[in-house]
Amino acid sequence: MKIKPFLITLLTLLSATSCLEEQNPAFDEKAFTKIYDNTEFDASYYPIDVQQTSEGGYLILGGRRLENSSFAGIYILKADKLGNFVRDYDVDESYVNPVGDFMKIGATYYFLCMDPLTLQTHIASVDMNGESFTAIPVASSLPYPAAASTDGNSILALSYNHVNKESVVSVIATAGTVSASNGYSIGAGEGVEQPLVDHFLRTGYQFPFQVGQSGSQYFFNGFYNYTFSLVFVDLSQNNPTGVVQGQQDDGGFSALLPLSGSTFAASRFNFGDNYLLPNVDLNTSGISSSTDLGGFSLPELDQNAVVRIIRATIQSQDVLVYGCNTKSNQIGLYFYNASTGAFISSQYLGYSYPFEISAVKQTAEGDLIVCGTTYVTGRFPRFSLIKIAGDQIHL
Amino acid sequence: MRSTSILLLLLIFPLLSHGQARNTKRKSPSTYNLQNREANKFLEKQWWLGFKAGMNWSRANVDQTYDVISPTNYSLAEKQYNNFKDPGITASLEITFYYKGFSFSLQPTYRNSNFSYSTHYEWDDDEEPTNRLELDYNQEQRIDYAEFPLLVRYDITNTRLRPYVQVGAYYTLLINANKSVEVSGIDYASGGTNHFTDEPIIVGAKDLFAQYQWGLMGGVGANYHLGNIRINLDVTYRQGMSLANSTENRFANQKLSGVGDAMDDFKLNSFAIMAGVMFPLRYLSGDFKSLDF
Repeated sequence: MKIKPFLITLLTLLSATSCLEEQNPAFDEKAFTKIYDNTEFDASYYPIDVQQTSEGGYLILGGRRLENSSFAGIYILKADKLGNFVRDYDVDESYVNPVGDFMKIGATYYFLCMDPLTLQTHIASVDMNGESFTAIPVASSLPYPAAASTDGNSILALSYNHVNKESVVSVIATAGTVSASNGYSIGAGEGVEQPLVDHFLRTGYQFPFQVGQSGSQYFFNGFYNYTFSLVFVDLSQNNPTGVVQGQQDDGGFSALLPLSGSTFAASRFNFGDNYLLPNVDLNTSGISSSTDLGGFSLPELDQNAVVRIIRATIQSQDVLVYGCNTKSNQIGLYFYNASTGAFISSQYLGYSYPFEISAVKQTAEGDLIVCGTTYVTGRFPRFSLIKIAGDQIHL
Repeated sequence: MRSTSILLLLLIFPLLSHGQARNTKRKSPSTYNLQNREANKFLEKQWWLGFKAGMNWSRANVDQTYDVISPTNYSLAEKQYNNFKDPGITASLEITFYYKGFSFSLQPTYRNSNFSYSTHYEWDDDEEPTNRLELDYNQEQRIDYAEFPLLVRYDITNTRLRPYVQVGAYYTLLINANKSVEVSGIDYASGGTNHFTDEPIIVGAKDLFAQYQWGLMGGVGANYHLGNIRINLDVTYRQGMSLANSTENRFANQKLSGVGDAMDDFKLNSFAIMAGVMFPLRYLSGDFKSLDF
């Protein structure tokens, strides 16, 4: 019997069949695009932040239009690991103005919201299924929550005190007790307050409020001394330790990510223009101006674009991922070397219908998840969740 | 139109060939002699080379559905596939070895498969009936394949008109693919009943389809001997045995996923009607005839 022709035939068949497509649940988990639609004609939803839960699913915190309130309501959506809708939760109108980050502390997911009557900040939480909603008031008077992030097992909050006209930074335990807090004047007069009112009622520009830590130093991106500024603070001192000023309410930082020491990955806006600063050394102990920092100007970005920055390891590379809204109504992802700030590549999400970014995160598996708003049929604002396989990102 | 022209050519060409064939008087079987018996033995084997073309109609056999739209307060309507409705063209080169009623045929084929599906969505307002929008998304797929079928054929009779049955398998390579999405609808909220159709989004979609597939095929047909050539007509059904879509790139095309389109996992079935002409490659002598009558 001649073995050679038989082997050649067998190898050819094996080779041919190895190229065939077959169902692969792994691919279904690694990449998907989902739009969470609702048949209600006048329903309006916008996501704020997303978290991957321990079983691989996703929790999205968002806002929704309320019939009887000028503030945004709270909407929480749970999706499974394939991105499919599992359940949602419309928090009743007793709590409004949801504020991210959507923070995982222990097994619980926290965010800030407020009472629409007293304006008091509440700490809200849900479990990994998006259920068991609770909201407890912060023990001290903290109206108008604007931003939050984790500080160990506590919550670092930025809020606006409309009585004292101060941006207030507080460290709050999940039980609601405030361990440290200090306010920083935004300046006197009604004019300086108007952009804040428009922000909270969502009738004007949505300022990129942010609060966080850089080393042992707290910072907030908010109003200080009549200007939208990056302010470094020591909560035991009444005056900031450093200020990087913007241009009243027309300029400032649109996103910040501490890298090391005083080095940040940042982006800034200035009278509609945008500048990306993947590796910038900021003056944390004096007064400086953000307009002096330069940056990569990207004309394709939307006016005063929403920008999100994360640091991620993709294909074994330490990269910065900038997620930005573009003028073409897409979400642009820009990848930079985290060490040098050198540009690597870009990728665009969405087409035909507008897509706007709310959050970008790296999943436990090393893939990217981008949460945003899409306007279904160009009309209806809905949550969207796009997962990109890490190995399919062109670096 | 082009496919119709091809069919006409295929029908006319054999008639012309027949007209040019030798008009020799057929010998009756009673005149068999040694030469006839040698001829008969010779005619037990034959190689045929030919060309055929025709139309095919495809059906997507869905294994698992996928959607971009994930509804939060309604059940998603199933995609409506328009099976066996969108014609495509097929053209094959046929190389066949005939032996005692059985044929083994390799038929390298170009196949253009088309199929479409549609989805329907509605948005309304309980309190304001005119706040209503209905949308239909019609997704068309046009896929070009190079196909390599290997068939075993059995001639049912040994007459001038020879009906046959055939079975086999095929392996395909993807050449190209395009998708188009056309959105149409009725908008009741714009002050009237506004019927509209948007410009279709047409994109190259080769990455969304499987680069390789295999399947089984079977069919019936007939060869009609005119002079030394055969006119062929057959109907073949192809049953896809592997997925025709790419599982890895399902959501990779932003232009399509952005408007809510994701391909299902499906196998592609089709039936084809083809006509052609075959030429014998083995000749015993100058006045050889491919039939013994």
